[in-house]
Amino acid sequence: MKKTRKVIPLNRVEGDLELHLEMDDHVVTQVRSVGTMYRGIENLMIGRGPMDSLVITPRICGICTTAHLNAAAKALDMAYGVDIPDNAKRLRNVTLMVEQLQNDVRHAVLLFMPDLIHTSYTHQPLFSEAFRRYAVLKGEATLQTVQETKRLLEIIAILGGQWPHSSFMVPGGVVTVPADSDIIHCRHILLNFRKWYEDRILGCALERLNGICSWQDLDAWLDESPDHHDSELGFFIRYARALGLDRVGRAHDTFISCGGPDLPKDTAVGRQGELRGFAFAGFYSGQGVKPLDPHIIREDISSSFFKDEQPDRHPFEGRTVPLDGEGDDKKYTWAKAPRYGGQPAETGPLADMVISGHPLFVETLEASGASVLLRQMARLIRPAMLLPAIDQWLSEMVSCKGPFYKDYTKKVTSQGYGFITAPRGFLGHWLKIENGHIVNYQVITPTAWNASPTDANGVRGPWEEAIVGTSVRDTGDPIEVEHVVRSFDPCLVCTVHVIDP
Amino acid sequence: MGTCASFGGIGADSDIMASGLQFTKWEMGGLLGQDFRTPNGLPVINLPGCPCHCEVVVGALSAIAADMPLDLGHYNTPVNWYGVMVHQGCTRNEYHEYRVEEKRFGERGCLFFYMGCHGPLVTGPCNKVLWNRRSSKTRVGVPCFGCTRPDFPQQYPFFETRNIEGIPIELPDGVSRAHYMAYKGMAAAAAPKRLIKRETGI
Repeated sequence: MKKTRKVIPLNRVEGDLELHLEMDDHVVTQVRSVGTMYRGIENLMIGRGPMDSLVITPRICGICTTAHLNAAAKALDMAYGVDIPDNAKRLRNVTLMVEQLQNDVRHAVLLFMPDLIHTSYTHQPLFSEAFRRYAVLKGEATLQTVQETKRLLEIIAILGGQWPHSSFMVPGGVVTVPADSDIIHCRHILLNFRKWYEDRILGCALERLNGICSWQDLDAWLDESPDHHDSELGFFIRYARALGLDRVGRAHDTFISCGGPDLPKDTAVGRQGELRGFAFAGFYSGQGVKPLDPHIIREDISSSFFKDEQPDRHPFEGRTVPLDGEGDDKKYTWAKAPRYGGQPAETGPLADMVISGHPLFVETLEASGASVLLRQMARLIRPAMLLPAIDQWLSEMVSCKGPFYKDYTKKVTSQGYGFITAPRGFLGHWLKIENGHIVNYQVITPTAWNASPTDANGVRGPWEEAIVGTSVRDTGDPIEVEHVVRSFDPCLVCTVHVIDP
Repeated sequence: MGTCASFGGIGADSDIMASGLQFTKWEMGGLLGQDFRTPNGLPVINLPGCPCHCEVVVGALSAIAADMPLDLGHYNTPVNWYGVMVHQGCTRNEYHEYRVEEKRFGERGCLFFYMGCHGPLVTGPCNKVLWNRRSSKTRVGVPCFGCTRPDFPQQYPFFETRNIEGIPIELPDGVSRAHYMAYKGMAAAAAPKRLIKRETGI
């Protein structure tokens, strides 16, 4: 048996993360998911005015910036007890979902696919085709994705001023009152994106794809037309199967979603049952789906570089007190470990598909568990479910004349939380206000759920669990482990190098 | 690149006590010290903004790559992009001119007097080059938060303007307070009805 240790730094894009691997004879036996950077943004919020969260927290992330803004605004809505107008919901939803669209396609094509043209796959029959599509800065799909997603984000700029880092959502609604001409431009941009997504990513109309309910259906769809077979989705399914990505990356098979988006009271969205892919807030385990109970979310710090007399706390009572170098060897990361009723949970598009009861995903999950392929599939087809609702809400902003903002009375002492389905899954902000100032602010990001370290019970976080047991051909360059981590869309681009051979 | 690298930014007031490369907030110094120069004799060139506009990044790098001179102004920022005030080019400028001010979100007025807008106080090309080729925060009604300024994020609340007797404490760069107050009083009195009634679009 050859024992190997590796440190894989995952960097670039957002944040700093390393994976510390132990391998026995080409199989990963132990892993530590190590967040290497501390920023202290939660503590920076203390003492500030409550509205400051709308300016500071979007800057946590340059990709999920609108999701953070929405979570911060929702926490304030709850704290001040304001029910926002329908048009404010529409505008918030449209911008949030546009951010999801760009992320889903960018992650799938720009961040995940380049690993499939790794040198260890040059012998694969589909390799040269993959290279033609996904070569960095050259691939046909790569270049188109950069252009199309960049254009799509203009919708957020028209409705919210800029992307990233605007603050157009406020308690009571949004500051924007879009002109009809603004909405027309947004709809044109969306329509162009939809056409490209149908032609290039799916190879078929949204309606055709949304009719697929099982793997049998999916295989029939693949064989039905060269357009399906050769689309990015069709190619991905064929190549991922050839690489065995349908058999790696299973975590605990527990999933969490906060559902959404929030439906306006008066809307056509949902009337025809087109809410598939829109989860409700829930938790899925072997016992099926249960509604989300916000009270049993806790953050554990047993493996984290923080100190507290309690091993875990509810975020309303959460503390962020960094250790000053007095840690023990059980502590290895700057990330806390969110747990739901004591259990780790995976979040992201696959969680949304499973909790919304999408038959294709539920069937596969119950038969063989989650996999790299299933996570990427969920991400690639989620836009098909979001696009019609976005367009409907854009048109309703014009047809349903109504306010975008509602006055309310500020409370000097209150608390609230805002849950948002961000591109990578369940994002939560918890806010406590006393005497008109923030006294506690806690954020649990989707990647905190997925990348969480081992908790007090010795239970690993989702991607730690998904990595253990992975077979690795080249222990000096464990690309298989990268596929697993990337299938969670960690907001990181991985580079692998050996520091302890 | 960015306000953190330039001045410390969000991290300057957090547990991590961040500093910029050659400034800590308004003070020269920072990580590399005020005497730092590159082998070509250049100081750190700051491209602040949270985020820094992509055209500024590409423009500054292109100028350096092409060996074009890059004139530096305050805080060693290139004057090409940091020599304009944020509100230059804002579609609400006529509302600003006649002091037709927004007091409640969505009222479609100028955001300077009550909503905490830093547009006339801070430099940056937001309304000149626009964001995502389309718009800017101030155009849609989000106040400028002054994210290019060394003290970003400010230590007093966002979305409100600190004022004395209704006149902002911080006035547009370089103006005389007495003259400004007289001018603004007259401007408000001269405001056309089409602005007061919000008949002119933004």
